[in-house]
Amino acid sequence: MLDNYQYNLGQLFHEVSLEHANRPAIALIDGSLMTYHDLNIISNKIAHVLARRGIQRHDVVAILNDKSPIAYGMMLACLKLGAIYSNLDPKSPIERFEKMIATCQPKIICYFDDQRSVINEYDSAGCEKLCYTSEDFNETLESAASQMLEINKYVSSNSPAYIMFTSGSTGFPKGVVISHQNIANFICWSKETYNTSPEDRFTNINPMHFDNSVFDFYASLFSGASLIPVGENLTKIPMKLIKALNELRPTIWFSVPSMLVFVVNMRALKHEDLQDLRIITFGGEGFPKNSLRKLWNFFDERTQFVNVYGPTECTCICSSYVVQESDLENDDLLPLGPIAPNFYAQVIDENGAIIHGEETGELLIGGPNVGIGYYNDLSKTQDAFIQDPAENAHVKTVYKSGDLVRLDSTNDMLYFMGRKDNQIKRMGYRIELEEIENVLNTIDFIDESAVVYVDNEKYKAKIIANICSPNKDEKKLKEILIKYLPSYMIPDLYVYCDSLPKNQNGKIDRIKIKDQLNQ
Amino acid sequence: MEDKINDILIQVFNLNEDQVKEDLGMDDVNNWDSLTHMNLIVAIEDEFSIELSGDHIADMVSFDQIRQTVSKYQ
Repeated sequence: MLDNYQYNLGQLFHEVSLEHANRPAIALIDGSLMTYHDLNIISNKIAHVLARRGIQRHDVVAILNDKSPIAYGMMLACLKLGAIYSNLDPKSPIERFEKMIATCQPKIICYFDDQRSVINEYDSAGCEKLCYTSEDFNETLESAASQMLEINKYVSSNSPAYIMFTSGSTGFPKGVVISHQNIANFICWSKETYNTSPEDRFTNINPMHFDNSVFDFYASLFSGASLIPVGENLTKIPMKLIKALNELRPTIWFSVPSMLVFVVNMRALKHEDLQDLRIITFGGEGFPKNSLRKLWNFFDERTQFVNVYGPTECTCICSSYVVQESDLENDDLLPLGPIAPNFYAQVIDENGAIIHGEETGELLIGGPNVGIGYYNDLSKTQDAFIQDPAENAHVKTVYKSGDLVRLDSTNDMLYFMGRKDNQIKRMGYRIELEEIENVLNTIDFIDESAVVYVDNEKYKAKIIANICSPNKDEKKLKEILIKYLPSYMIPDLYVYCDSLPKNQNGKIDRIKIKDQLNQ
Repeated sequence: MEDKINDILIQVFNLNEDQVKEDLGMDDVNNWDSLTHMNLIVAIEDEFSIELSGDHIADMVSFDQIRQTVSKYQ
């Protein structure tokens, strides 16, 4: 073991827990607290239980995460074992869930008792299931050993830590793999950028299967600060959410802009709310300026607003920008900020050549934040994690983001200009429109389909499925789609047509489809 | 009024007609999340030309409660 160098996250959490043993690690909405000491012990116990069940280094542990201390402890236990955890959406449609399981091939699925969970539909032949809210499990935990596992010292910094699923254009969600080292760098970045201290209290509004939760979990629990878990039901009723948070006094809030827009538009916020909130940080999608102005007015100068950017493949966040009052004077998208320290950005043209001026091109990201690929998918990994085009002498991997940006050379500021492909964002979730088309095209009564996203006066942020089919049974269509796609991917509108417009190469012409819709 | 609320629920949550029942609540609809809840409130305010208070919005978590709340503004 290397002294004074926490090269894996299990060791790092252990050190943080010793230093802040009696401080609250988790502050629950009901007012109860769990200290770092207790969370560390629980994670050790879970690690022993998992090890006894045969979980070893590099095995995958799927977690349906209810944001309870046990569920967080389970993530930490995996880090300590060198196992790879993957938080999966408990409300995922069964067909999509099965695809994710087929991709990550977990040794065990840890779940909580909930009638609405996908686990009730899942036939887990060949994969062990563990209900972590059961009495049996609690009893097992009580009798388990509480010391740190010896195995932890064998977890190297390039070991995979977690798999985060994101939409895939071939119809299969992609499992992004992030290493211990990726996250260790991310933790340092978050401490520096937000000047965090053990006095901070972070919200955990983001669902654990969603990339933004990486910030909530790691920026808080690895710096001695507290984490405030917010359940899904509370996020649906903003007035209650704000009332509950007023009691727990968070200092740092991170969510997608949609969540903040929701809170403001549902008239849930008053000037006197969230008095200790010193930072509101948001990312995953653009923040509409009208709503941003409203939000700004509630907080005046007491709260700093930080816009962040980063693909899942590059450990959650790669750049940040502190919003200035002058940014509210126009309706332009906020800058993404300069690329974070220890990372670097390059912009390439359509031929892969590096752009040195301010022309728009595709963003490549390099540095210790670049993840280690897509789990069980070497082909997609090779397409997206490529050799730095500026480096011929040795291996240097950069992530090809698909995001079109402009880099202002005077201040290194990045500006988002659009996407290279058909990926869109909704509530911060990445959606490859082809994933929806893939499902539609497997339906026997559909001849052909094209899914487009339109956001204009006529159609406000709508996913529109254009379908050629003799059968216009929308009820049946919806019944099929909800088995395959999460709710945020279900089209808002279905347009039936005799044929879809094609371009010269015989490919579906999406631009023409959009034009036709706007007529 | 009920028919109008009925239509809004079907449209916002992508439901089929037979799914909208008296006791239909937030937990029964898979895609009743913050985005669709906001769409619901906006659609109701537009349809009935009303502006709901934050407290009333917080109460609107079922078909029955939506109906009761909207009737207070009529």
